[in-house]
Amino acid sequence: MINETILPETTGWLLLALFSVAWILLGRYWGKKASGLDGYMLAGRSVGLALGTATAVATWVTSNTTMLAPQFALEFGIWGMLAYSTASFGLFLFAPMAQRIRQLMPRGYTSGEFVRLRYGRAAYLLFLAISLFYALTWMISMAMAGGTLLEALSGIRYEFGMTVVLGVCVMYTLFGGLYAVIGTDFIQSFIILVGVVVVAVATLTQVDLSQVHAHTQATRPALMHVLFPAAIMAVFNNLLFGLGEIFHSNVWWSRAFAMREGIGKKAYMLGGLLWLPIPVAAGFIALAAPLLDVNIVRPDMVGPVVAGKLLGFAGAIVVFVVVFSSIASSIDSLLAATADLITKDVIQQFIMPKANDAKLEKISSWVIAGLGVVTWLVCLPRIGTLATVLFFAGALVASTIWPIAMGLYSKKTNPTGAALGMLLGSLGGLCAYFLVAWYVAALVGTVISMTCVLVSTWIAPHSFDWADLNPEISSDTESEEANLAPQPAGGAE
Amino acid sequence: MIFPLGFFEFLVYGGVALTAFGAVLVIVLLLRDLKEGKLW
Amino acid sequence: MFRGALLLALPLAWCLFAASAQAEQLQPRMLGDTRLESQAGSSSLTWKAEHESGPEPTYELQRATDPDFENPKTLYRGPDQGRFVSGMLDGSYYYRVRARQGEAAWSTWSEPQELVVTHWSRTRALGLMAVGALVFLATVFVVLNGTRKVEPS
Repeated sequence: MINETILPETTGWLLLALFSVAWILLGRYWGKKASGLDGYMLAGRSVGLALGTATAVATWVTSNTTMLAPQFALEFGIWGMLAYSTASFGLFLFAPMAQRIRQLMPRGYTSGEFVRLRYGRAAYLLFLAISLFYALTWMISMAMAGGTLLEALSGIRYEFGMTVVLGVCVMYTLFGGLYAVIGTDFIQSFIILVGVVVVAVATLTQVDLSQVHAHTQATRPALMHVLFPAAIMAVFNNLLFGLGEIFHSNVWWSRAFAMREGIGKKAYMLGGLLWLPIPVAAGFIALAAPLLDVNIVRPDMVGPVVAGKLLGFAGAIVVFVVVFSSIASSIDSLLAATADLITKDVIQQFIMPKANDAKLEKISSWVIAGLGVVTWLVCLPRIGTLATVLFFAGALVASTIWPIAMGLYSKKTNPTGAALGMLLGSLGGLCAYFLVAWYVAALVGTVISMTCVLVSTWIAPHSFDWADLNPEISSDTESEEANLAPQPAGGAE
Repeated sequence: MIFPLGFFEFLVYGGVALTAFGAVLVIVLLLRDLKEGKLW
Repeated sequence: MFRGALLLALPLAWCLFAASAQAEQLQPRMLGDTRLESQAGSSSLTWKAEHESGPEPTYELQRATDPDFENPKTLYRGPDQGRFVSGMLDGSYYYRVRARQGEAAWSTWSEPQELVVTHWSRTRALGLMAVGALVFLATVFVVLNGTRKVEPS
């Protein structure tokens, strides 16, 4: 329904080709470093502060941040921007957890592994279901966003744009594993940060904030209200959704394992700090739309439309590159982390318990390719409602917050409580989503799950032995060095 | 009750400044890590 | 006198006929339910005018606070077929649209679409916010307290 794109199609293709080639070549280059399973899956477990910080920022900046933050500003006003920014609290709180994870499981690979060893099979299966559902819907929504946005920005057909974005990410992740993902994330985070600043500064030179403030107050008064009910309800729901996403997802756990000793905490703190202002810097331009008399048809396109209107061709190019970078940096991370989860927690656990590292590395690359193909097939028919499925993932992921946090810090947390917390929290959150409204789903999920975990711990405290998190090391100290086949672990079960 | 203009300005200018700081910081960190050979 | 009136009436009738023909060809309508509700003060309005030939129509969107459009305000004039409205306070708002192709006459106005904005109650919103804040603070406590306890080791 937007009748014009902000960029000519040929320019779109040119930019797409340029960056695709760059990502693939860089992926190949960095991929040469990847040797062995640790190299491929976890970038050698020695990622430094610069790359660690940048990968946290880039991965957490999805196309949602650059597109949905302006929409939040236009829909919920000042609170909308603030609510979106609270997603950075997930990174802040995960910072000490990343350190704890690295200490508890120096040879760990996935979040699934932790839940299995800490809580046993029932919680593990539930957790895997939630994790895989979330990862797949996130990936599908990103790939669909890629196709839709490139089409809206430059007229490149959805099928082509989606295929190129997904294909490029699969290729460089396949070639270079986590090295390629983290390396490209650095460049992508830099592009995103600079792009957001360029658009914001250019906007500030053309509109006066006091006029924006006055005009918004006059024409869309609720946006400036301190007590805008729908907006203040969204704040903590959004925050808890973000916590749930980060606490459970292997995207963040694999980075905790991949960062060098002592780096995780700082990298996640800095990552949170750098992410915090992005929704505001990218979002406020939406509030300039009414003042500039720009008609907004689709709220999710307000950012690009205003940038294109204010900054013309150059602005459109910046937006295109920022959007492409933010989508690619999330898809690649999801591909790598989900492939790890499937390889280690589904295939190795249930299908090939005797596979050695070399075999697992091969399987992992097949899984990456397979994930790409499955995502592509699901995205091809362009069923718009699919992307909205991600929104009810909020209830599911929020139910993992307490089992994960308590599981990392308290020996007493009881496996039954954790499993019940995830089950009842998810169900309750989903009911709230459908019966009440979207903005209470994560909140209800968290509250129920928290209650289950706390009550069960209080009634029947467990006594977990932290050494059980490292079955390989405790059962055979040599296996670590000799790189033998991992034991079909199960010490804690 | 309306968010005062000053708060709005603080939010926007602060947000843009902090984002710009972020862009500089990642490069500074990169150079430091490269110099100390601690990139990966 | 009577003949004079007839002479005047003829072109007038023709004009009316032509206008109604035009209106038949371009009959813009607001899409979706005739009554929209929002508890967040926002809504996506869309409209459309079927046309078989000729250039893409230009639309004009008006809003009023009464169904008779006593005091309308033009919100938009252009080719887009939708507008996202937000930040509205409690109340009923009415929207209508008309269209024209090129420099031809405007069509008649569409049937109005009503948007009823009833914000959530403040008590409920603040209550939910308080619960959210409590849960969040409890989570922060678990992580920070846990970290404090394990850090020395």
